[in-house]
Amino acid sequence: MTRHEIEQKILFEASRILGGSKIGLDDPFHKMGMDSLALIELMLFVETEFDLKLFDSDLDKEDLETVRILAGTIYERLK
Amino acid sequence: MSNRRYCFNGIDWIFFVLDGLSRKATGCGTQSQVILRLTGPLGTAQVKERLALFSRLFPVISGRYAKSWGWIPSWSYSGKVIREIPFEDVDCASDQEAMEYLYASVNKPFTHSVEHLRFIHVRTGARAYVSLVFDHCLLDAHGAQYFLWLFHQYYSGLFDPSAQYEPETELLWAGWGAQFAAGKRVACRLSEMMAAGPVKKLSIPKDLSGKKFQFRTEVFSSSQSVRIRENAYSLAGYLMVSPYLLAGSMSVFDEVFARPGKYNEDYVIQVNGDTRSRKFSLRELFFNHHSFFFLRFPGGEPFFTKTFIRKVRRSIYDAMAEGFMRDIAQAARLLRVLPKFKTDQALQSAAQNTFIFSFVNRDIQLNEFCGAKIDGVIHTPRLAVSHGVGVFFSQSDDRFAVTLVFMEGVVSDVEADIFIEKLKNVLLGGI
Repeated sequence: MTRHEIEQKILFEASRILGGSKIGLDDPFHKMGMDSLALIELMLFVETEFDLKLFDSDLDKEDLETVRILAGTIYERLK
Repeated sequence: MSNRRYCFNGIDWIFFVLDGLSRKATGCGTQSQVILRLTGPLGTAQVKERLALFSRLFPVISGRYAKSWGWIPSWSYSGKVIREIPFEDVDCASDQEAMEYLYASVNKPFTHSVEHLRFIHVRTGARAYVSLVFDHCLLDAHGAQYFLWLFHQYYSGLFDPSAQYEPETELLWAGWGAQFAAGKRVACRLSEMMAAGPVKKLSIPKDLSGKKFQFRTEVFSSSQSVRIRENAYSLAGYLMVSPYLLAGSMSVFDEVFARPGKYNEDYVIQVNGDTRSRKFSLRELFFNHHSFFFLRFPGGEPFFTKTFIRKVRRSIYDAMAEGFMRDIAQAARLLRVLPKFKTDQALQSAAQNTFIFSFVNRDIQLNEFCGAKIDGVIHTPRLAVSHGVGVFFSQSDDRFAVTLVFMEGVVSDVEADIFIEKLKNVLLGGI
């Protein structure tokens, strides 16, 4: 899967979780109204969609903050 | 004008039943209140006049409980508002006196069967407070904030009168199989949780007649709120504010309220969460769009450690992954077909928890209200009578506030003061 495809999937799901809000690849999730329950929903999607265990790994804000960054983290894990 | 009706969802029904239990025990129902702390007073005459006009757009506010088609629990209302929202305008000598007045106001029952909202404006000199006391059968905490935000929009000439605000009825009398399956999962999970040993809880007085709920509140400054958020991100992870606040609350609860010799008892905590879509929808303004789940943690642990905060985070994740909150909302619909005394019993036995935790933080950003700047949003709910205490956090315009709720006699005034002071220190101090 290409990085772009991952970004599109995350973008679609994050937008759905945020009630259809338009979000950009580089918009920080906390500025888009995402909270802990919403991020958990997004993590659950990532784990199912990409068969990755992300939630328990020691990921910081720098690995998760935007759609582009999160997609990059997933891309690296899938390599 | 013809009658309209909204069929209760499961959580609405739970609140309606709890409301009845609370009225019977204390004389007042499950009311709640959202308080906006303002930097200056409002133009009373203009706000009062606009509020009367605004409220006429929502005939649902003067509805009442009814059974549709003989048995479906519903909210029935006519096409027009038949009772305006009472407006109280009060002067108080100090902030403390203002808060005491507002704490008392949420314990004051509504005076008419179709009155479910009360608006209060309190001036204290430089500062002012606005409060909306609301019947929890009509609005939940988010809905009440939305209602005030919408009124602000209306006052400012930004309200869209063509918007659809008629509540969407959640009939859902199909899908019995799914509801039963959800009910079975909830029952299994709860009985497993409750069978795991004794639960730490505060004792509730037997005679609750005339008992009032009391409150302690703290509004954190912007810089304190930044600090709390940074602590949460560093200890619990990015955006994981809830696990941090919950672990802090447990730690202080254990220190202040846990009695000697009870350390082998576990904590069962009811965690409230919103189930409505995050994008504001007028059609989800009224009634209850939240659910809850339960978490169990062994007692006697050091609760404010990075390990424990991570454990809370993991437990919330597991509850979400297993659909606990969604299952409770779905299973609650089944309660609508039980005889009411059975629902009473079910709710009383389900309420065997240590405390309730809630964090109202959805994306409605209230920072201005009818020309005055908001510098704090506080929630003061009356709990269901079987609960001991509640710890309710809110966030608005990036500022946190916390309320400790307890029924008089359950904890002492001194303990309540200590709780808030210690909680403040713990959350700001981090580890």
